[in-house]
Amino acid sequence: MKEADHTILRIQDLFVGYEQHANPKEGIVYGPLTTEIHTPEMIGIIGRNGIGKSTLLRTLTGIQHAISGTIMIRGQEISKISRSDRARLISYVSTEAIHVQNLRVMELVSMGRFPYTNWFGKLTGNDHDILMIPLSGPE
Amino acid sequence: MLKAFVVWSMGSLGNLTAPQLQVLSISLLIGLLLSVFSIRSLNVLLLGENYSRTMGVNIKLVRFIVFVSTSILSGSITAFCGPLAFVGIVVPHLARMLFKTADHKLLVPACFLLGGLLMLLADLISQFPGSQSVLPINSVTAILGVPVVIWVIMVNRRFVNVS
Repeated sequence: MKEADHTILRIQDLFVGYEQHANPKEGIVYGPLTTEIHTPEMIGIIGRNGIGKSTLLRTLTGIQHAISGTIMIRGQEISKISRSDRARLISYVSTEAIHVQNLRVMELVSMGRFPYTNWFGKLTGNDHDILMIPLSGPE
Repeated sequence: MLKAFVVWSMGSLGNLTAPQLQVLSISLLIGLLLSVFSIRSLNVLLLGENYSRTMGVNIKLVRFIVFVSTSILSGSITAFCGPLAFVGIVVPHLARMLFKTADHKLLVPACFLLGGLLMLLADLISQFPGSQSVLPINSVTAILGVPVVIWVIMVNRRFVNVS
């Protein structure tokens, strides 16, 4: 086991899927999963269609609840992290297409700063610098 | 009593007493403030529920605020000015069309102003200068509103066919 500082994500006995109240076991898509992810690592998840890759990611981002098991992000149980703190810890880009008329690229990208802005959504100088990182492309 | 109901159902911007105006302006202020507060969340909700959730939007709360704001605004206006058809459905589309943006920071104030402008225009037409009779304001808003509704339906149909 590595140092605790480097463990960014710890998953224990995680079952993911869609909760069905009559029979909770029936909705399980994938599990059990026990693993750890450490900071400089880049992880790929490979599997055939419908095996639960997206369901796992949706559960890890907090879009849907886990059926059972624990997810710890930086030593904190995911459900105990507040909405705004979780939004700062996790970024998620899915394959979901976005069709909004009259939405500019800059406006779309700047929505990624949502968890860091005030009630009016005003971008500060620092936000503009951060936005230019993905927009300027590879060097 | 019946006459009052008929007059109310035709819609009118006039005939309000000062105390009525007080109640109306207070409820309008509350409704408008609530809609201004939801601007930031409405922008992110354009991306859909999943993305909004990962960005920390409390979707249930935002929905509740938008519902309350809409209810206060449309309820108070309907109570004092009568059922004004088409304005609520037309003005947001008109604002999107005119300003060519999806940013609610611009769209929300634009709707406030365009809505007021459209109603004043409708009122002007309904009390047509030089004529003795007064048209019900509802018929004027319908004449102005129906073309926009048809246009929106046509545009959306084309959008579906392409994709």
